[in-house]
Amino acid sequence: MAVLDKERGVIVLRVAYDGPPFSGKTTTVRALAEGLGVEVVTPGEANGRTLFFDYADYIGGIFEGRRIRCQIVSVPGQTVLRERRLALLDSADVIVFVADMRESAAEKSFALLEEVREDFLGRSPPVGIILQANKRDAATSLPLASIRARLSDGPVAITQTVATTGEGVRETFVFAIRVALDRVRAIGGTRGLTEQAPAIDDASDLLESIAGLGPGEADHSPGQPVADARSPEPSDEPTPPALGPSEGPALDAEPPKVLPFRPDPAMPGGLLWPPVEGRALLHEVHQLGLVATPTERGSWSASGEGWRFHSRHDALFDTLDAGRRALIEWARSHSALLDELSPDRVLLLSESEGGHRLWQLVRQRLSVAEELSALSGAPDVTPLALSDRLCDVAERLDRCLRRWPDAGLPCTRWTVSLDLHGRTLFAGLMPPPGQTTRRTPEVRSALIRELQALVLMLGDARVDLEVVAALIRQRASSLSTDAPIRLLEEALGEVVAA
Amino acid sequence: MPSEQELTEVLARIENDASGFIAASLVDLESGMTLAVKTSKQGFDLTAASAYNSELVKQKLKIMRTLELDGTIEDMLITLTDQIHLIKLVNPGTFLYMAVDKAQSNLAIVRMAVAKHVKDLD
Repeated sequence: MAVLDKERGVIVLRVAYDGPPFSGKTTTVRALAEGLGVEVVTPGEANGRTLFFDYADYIGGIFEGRRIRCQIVSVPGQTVLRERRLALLDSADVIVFVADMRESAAEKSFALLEEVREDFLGRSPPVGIILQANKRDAATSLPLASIRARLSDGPVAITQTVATTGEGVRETFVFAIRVALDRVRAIGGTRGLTEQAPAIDDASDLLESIAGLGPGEADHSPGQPVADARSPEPSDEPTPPALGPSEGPALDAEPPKVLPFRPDPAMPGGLLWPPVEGRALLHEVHQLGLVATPTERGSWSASGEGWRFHSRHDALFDTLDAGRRALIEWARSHSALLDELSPDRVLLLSESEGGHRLWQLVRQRLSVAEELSALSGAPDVTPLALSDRLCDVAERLDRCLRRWPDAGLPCTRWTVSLDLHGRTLFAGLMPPPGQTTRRTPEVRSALIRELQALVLMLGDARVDLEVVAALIRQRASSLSTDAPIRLLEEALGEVVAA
Repeated sequence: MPSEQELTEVLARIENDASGFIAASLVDLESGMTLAVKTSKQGFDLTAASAYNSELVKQKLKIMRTLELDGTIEDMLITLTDQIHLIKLVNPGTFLYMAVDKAQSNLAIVRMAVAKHVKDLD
């Protein structure tokens, strides 16, 4: 259940990704985490099967003046791990049910979904369930109308995704947060929440809480996947490799590795950028006591208290000289783009794992997507305010799409942010200096994609979207067909019509 | 590029040749980061001095572009009441920053010491 962590000033929500085996839960969480710029911790996995969970932590969005911290958890799908699955679902504020909606697999998904609905919709307040219809790119995928017809007897929202490409994954997540917040509203908003630090604060806490559940040693040989009563249905996901005695970690594997990361404000000047302001920021960061967690690809990340720390998989250097050379390259690329970047960024080289690791520290800022999402859900929002904001964001995205990709900065609704003076800033993690030659996207199609995704997020806005669309249509009438506001009008028109 | 240790050794040789030596650093112009440092005076914040002096050099380069001057900066000299600060461009992206005590040294000594070793910093 959601809690109010007053000490950190955040509301803590848990989004659980459930679904039958091979439906794409892990793929969804990984695609989501990549888009959010956070790392996924997977404590145990055997031949592509999740044994415990996938876990990601993300802070974004505001509810009643407080930041929202989302604990994103996917459950193991195998039947013999049902105890673990139910324990993870039990603490969810919203359940995203990932379903393989191809004809051959849909029935199993509907059957399991029915069980979940019985268990969770009857709770008080009810736990929202979203059916994430996955694998929509498959030729045999059921039509949306058929899916809707099967779900006509209960309140389950439907989203459509192709988790392997990430399509629709983020939108589903944003929708899930809104549903979870509705549950918070049902108990009186923030004032109704229990004020306490979350009992589960990270992946290692979560692992500890469920490690005792599920099959024991007798049921499972180290290195072998857990036998599943269900035979895996045909899937377009990679086929699990042949079993071997040394493949995959043991079920009783060590808890996930963590890397305490407390940068020393007194560190030598040559290991820190920016040389002067960076030290002042380190004094702030030092107090946080954040712990970074690794990913399978070898990178490390942490987030909390309004900061994001990240170190790439290739950012560990054997010698100090090699690390310093890389640091200088990164510092140069930051300096060259200083006018575009959000403030309060630090690069540093710290001793780690027998070498020197290069870290990027970024103070988190609200993206235009998060800001719009908050505005559209605000109780006092007006159609005029929302239409003005949408037009402004469309024009800013257009300008950034023309300018940023040449400099290597990815421009999406999640990386564009505004400062207090209305200046547009890049708020994401900086790509490595070598990546500045990436292909420039076609601006118009990229802008249409971003705008469509943005207006989809307004599905439960607290204003009449038809009025918003009319206001935008009025503004767009005198503009050229390529003007960002024209494209916004089209995108919003489609949503209103749907 | 020479290693940090090699660069620090060059700065040590400059220290030996320049009487009244206070501090010297090799600085990356774009980022303001120090590539090597050497100081003989406690409390002299060479990191901050280097970062701010990189801004000084960048501003001077901007002035030159505005004035459409074709030449390049060779060095910049700042004379305080009790210190001499010399900024010597090693290459277009790096400069040497050096501070000496005015009472124990003079500009000729500083320039000579720097000229003797600066090529080893490139």
